[in-house]
Amino acid sequence: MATTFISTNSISTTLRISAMKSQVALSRATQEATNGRLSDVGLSLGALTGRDVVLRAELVDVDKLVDTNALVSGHLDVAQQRVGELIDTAEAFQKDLLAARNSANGGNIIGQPAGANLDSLIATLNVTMDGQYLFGGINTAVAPLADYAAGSANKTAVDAAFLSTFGFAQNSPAASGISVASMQSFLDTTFKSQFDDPAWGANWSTASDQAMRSRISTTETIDSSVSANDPAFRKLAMAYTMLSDLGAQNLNQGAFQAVIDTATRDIGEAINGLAEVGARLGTAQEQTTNATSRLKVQGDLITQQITAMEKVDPAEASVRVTSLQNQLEMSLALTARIQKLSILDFL
Amino acid sequence: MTLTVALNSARSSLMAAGTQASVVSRNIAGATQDGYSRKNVLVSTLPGNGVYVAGIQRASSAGLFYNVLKASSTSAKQDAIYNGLQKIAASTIDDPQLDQSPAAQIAKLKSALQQYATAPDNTTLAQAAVNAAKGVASSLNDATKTVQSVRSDADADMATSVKTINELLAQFETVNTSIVKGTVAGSDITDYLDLRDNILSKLSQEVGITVATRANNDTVIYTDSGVTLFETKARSVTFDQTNAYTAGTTGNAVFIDGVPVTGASAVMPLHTGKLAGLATLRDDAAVTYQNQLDEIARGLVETFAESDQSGASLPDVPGLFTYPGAPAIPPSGLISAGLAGTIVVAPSVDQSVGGNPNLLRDGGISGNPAYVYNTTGSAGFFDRLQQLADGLAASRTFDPAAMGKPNANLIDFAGSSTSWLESQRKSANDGATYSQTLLERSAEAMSNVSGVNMDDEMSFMLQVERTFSASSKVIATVDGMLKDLLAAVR
Repeated sequence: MATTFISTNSISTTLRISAMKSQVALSRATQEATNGRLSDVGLSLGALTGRDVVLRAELVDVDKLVDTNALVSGHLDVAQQRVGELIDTAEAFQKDLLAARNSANGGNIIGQPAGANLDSLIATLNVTMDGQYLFGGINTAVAPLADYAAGSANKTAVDAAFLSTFGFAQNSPAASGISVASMQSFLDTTFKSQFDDPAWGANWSTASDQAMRSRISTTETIDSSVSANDPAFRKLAMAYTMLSDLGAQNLNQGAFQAVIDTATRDIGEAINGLAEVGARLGTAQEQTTNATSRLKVQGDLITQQITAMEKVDPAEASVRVTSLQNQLEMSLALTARIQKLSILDFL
Repeated sequence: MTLTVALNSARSSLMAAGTQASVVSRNIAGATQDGYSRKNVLVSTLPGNGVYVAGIQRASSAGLFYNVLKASSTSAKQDAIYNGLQKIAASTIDDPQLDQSPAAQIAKLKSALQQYATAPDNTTLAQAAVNAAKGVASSLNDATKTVQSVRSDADADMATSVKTINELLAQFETVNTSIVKGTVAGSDITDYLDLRDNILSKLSQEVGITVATRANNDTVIYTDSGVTLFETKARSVTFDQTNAYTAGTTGNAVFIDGVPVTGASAVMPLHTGKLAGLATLRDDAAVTYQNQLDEIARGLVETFAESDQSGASLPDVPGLFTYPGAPAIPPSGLISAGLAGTIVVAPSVDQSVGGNPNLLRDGGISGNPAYVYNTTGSAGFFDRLQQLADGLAASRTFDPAAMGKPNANLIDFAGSSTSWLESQRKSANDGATYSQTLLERSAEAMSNVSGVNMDDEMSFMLQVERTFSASSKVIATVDGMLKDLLAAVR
């Protein structure tokens, strides 16, 4: 009797429960079909949810590195362009030096271009980008080089050095009496020391020796700037100052040629040094570009992995929606029909 | 005379038919009621007097009924655990795409530090990094609040459950006594039996029970771990509610008949039932997750701590992330209970309360100049910021009691905590779905044995009607025959 008996309650409860479960499953399947993603990611992934979360965190990291690499690239580009300009100017000036060496009025002719080049050197090294002084090392809030003008510390120190060595100022006519040997000695010792530490740091430059270091990938950091204290810049400054502010127009031909020779040598060395700086900046740029492309590939891989974990095949989900809809309709129709089947209709 | 016998038999048939009709109508009344069992009238012969009603039988199956009780206890336990975990997961993790989880917040902080390290002179980026840090701290604070509120809600639900159990046991006592008396007196106790089974069903949802029947239909109830709940008299079930929960609070145990049945000190712990589920949630799952949150907070304080730069070998002090126990750093590798609820961003760095966000770059957040890293005061000082960002990626030790990865970087640990919670939630859900299906099947099987089929009852009613009309007709006929006989005598 037990196997062939069924209660009224059991019939209606079964249909009710079936209809309810179909509705719940239907709403989930609809959501998944629309979004193409799991409706409850944590519930479906369980213990793998942590991996999903960590992958997303990595993606944030990689995306941010790509962004900051664009900034670093920009800084490196500007720095390299400026260094290129300095090289061009120095090379053009070398030709002027050659012409002035042998001309009788060389001292007067060379003074003005030298002074202009010095001002342009200072202006170039004081370039800013996004509010940062690019050549300041880590001291990016302050313009690295001081202007060379009457009253500023660098000019005052040069004037004082000249005065203490020779006993008169640069523009005095007595400058024509300076011998070649004493001028050469002045250039190699007292004058040169103006461009070495501590005088350089005290009078000329507030840049720090330490360059900015930036992270370009999860494993690499690079030096992303050049300090204005680099020897190449100092030599350029020395050469230009030598020719613009040591009374070249008053010197005798011998002393003047000594000055020109020293300046030529210094500018030659400076151009080599600048080329090296340029090469360093170029390497850093290349490293950054390579890191960025690797990061982009990495980012794509991570995105693929995340999607693979969370995705639902939309075609499969919509098939599920359709079949659940059919199931629901059927159970509702059956509920209606079976409830109609009652002996009371026939009594 | 045989005519008298015929009359008596017809009369007894009418009485039996009447009882049968009343039982049919009782059955139909209870057809859709859960827990109602079908009644049969037992009709047997009384020699010389026709038939009589020997008793009312109740269709039931003890085995199927106990299956239903077990299934409903298991289902109640899994539901209780799942609901609690669902609440915690929904507010602390939600959909990973929304980046709400602690791991995602820390990733945002690392990203802001990376941005700031590229332009350390930019105060706006500094404040953005500080804001990201505030996001991390407040998400940990909020998560702690949610976890502790789930615990205190579980505690309140346990109190309600204990009250319900006591009420049910009191009702049970009344019904049980009536049943025993009725069995002894031989009266119809089937409705009381239905009532008693109903109480047992409700009780099994609150706490897992095993039932045994003794002489005279007396029933004893034990919990599924063997503690007596009812034996002749109801035993006491007591519980002291705790109102406010913090990370270090341990909830009280439920005592049945003087024996603790929940919590760490339980000698005979409950296996199933809503009480068991709530106790697991309150004392195990929520506590473990809180420990994980506290370990994340400790990792943050440790990562951002400042060390002495002046060479005086002073101890490390909290930096960007601080807590009320500063300046001491929480001990390494040990859970610091409640730290996730009290961790804050140091006000000396927060521009919105008058602080200086550049201290993130320079150091000295604690206020002591010995901890300043940027001794030259350079605007482009990137060293400390790189150090902090690298620290977030460095592996550190976590207390194994937290059930997360014991050696991992902070984001990985936070990810392992997410994994733990979601895997608990998934298995609770799977368990709940399974027990629910089991319950439905058991209930269906039981209903098919003891339920009422209305069409069957109606067809039976037709039979009873026929019997009744036939017996009435017999009485009328015999009455006519007796009349004829008496008329013949007059």
